[in-house]
Amino acid sequence: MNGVANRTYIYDKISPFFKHTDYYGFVHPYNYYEWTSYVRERFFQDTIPNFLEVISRPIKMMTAKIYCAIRDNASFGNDFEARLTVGKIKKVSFDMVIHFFDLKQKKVVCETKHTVVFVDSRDGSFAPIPLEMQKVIAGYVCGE
Amino acid sequence: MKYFAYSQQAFIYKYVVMLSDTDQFQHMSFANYLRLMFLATDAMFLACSDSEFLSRYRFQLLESRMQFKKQSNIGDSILIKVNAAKGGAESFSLLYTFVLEGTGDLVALARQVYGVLDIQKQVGIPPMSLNRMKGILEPITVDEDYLIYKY
Repeated sequence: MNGVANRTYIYDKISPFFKHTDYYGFVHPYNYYEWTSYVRERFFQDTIPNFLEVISRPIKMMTAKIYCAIRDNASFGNDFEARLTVGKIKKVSFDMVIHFFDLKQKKVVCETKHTVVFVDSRDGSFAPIPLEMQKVIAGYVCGE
Repeated sequence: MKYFAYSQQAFIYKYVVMLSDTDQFQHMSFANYLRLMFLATDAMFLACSDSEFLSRYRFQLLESRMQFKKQSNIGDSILIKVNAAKGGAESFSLLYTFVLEGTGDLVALARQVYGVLDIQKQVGIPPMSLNRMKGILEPITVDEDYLIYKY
């Protein structure tokens, strides 16, 4: 992990099942993308008390880009701890970085980084990050 | 001034967005675009997916990235154009252009970098040294310097 994280959100309920494995018995890379969406949505639900109300507003959160680097193989039975930190925060977007730490191998097997952007659904223009989110994500910025 | 034109081949995978692909925001959720990228890749490498090949070699995804440009809705027909990027002896890069059939609207751009592992020797091998891989990748290889988009 680069730099020192102010705070890290930990989601430790990821277990690869057979359906997550590929022809060779390793976790298929696609799953890290799907788990990335689970982790970030759990993060918002756990840290922003009125998250459901926030997402019902006309300002919508959209994924703008996503990156995934596979560091090592992982298999069925290797439970993961997903460690989320926040990267660059701009006016209308911010980055989230998730390290998937394999608890059996004791190492990071995958890193994903994605950018979310806020858009006003009424006219399609970019909109500032909602205040409730701004307050929370500032505490999870990873100093790079 | 030099003018030139060249025909560019690509592998095309088509997918129609279904109700089950969409989420509560009435668009296809982002992870599904990534699923489609893997489906398109698998479809392209079907000729290298027999048990003999797979028992000797393994495709290893090293990294991938995607940029989202436009949302898609139920019934949208998405064409996923796959090209290979020039360069890289030990690995190969695939470039994905997601467009809406009919309008040509750009939906997403993506890139994946793969290596090929010799399972028995546990070493990476140059993808183009395998004739079957070469037969798939060579016709769709493009020079990124001449592309409209940055992947």
